[in-house]
Amino acid sequence: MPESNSDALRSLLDEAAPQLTRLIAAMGIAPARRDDVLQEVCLAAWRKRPAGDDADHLRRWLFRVAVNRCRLEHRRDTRWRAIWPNLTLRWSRSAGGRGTHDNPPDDDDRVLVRRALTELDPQPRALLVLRYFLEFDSKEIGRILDLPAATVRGQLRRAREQLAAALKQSGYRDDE
Amino acid sequence: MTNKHCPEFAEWLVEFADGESTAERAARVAEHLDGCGACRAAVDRLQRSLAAARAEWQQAAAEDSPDFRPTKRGLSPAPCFRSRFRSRRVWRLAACAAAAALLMALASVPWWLPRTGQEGPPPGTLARNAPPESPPTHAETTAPAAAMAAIDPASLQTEAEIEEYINRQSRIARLSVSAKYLAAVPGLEKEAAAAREYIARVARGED
Repeated sequence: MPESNSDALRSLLDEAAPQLTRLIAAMGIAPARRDDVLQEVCLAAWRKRPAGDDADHLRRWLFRVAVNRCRLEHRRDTRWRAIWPNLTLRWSRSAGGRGTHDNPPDDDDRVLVRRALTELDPQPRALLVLRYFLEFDSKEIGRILDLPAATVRGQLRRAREQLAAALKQSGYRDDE
Repeated sequence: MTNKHCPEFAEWLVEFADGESTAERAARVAEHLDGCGACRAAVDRLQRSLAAARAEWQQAAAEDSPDFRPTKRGLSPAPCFRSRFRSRRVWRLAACAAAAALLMALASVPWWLPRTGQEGPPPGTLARNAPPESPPTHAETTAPAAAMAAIDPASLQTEAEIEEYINRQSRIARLSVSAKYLAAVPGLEKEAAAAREYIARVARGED
């Protein structure tokens, strides 16, 4: 890779790092896995970057790689979680149940919110994160995920409805 | 969640809840909400669920992975690696080594766990072309495993503790394979030693 392209990619990675970190965290990747996921995104950037010098195009590509990498992580996690409840149950039973210092009320709510977010498929979750956490607009999200802006808006609306429904179903407290 | 009773307003509620409706549409929805408790509740749920999600994302992002922080120099590995890497070439070599090590990590975990009398990688992996390396001391090799063994999985009580335990051990396994790979690359012996030191800290829960 020409040195100038290498410098451009390095600058881009420097600039995008905080947002990529936030994206990965908001996509529900466990803290212990986040640095690995981010490193893998960087390595993909070095090895598979698209041709050309368009920094905006490269930046969108980078975010798409990060979203796809998070999706892959969730798929692996789902396979593991298929056996997770049984393992958790066995360990909890053998340990005599939960300690009383666990799950004060605020943490209960946080667990419910996390669970509701986890129930969303990775695509709607990614849309929510990109729109409402990283504050990309629908057009930009469409460019990142290679979708028409109207499709993004429609999917975002459904994702919001799903999230609200999932939280309501989980028993999340509703302060009135 | 779509309000079956007011289908004509259902697709405008998200936009309204976010304050992004046009003035005309916002006025129509507001007028409708005055007389429709179901839609009012739906808007309320949309707003609350988004606020809850944002709070969760903020907290999740604040749970910084302790061995990785974006810096002015860029996306760099853990501090103990970063401080040793003086040149881009070395960083790239290590980045590629880490990538290869990640792919090997799952298959490598069983043999990594120290067994009596075993040193170095198993036959058929790096051994054939690897330069002679100073073997790690017994303490360096066994410290992570000893720290892992000190935690009794049966003592873990919550799902969060169990997940953290498994993630930590997975991380240790991956880092260890990376360290062995680094040790096999000429010129990176010091980085490999720093990596083993860092791995031992992770295993002790100090990082």
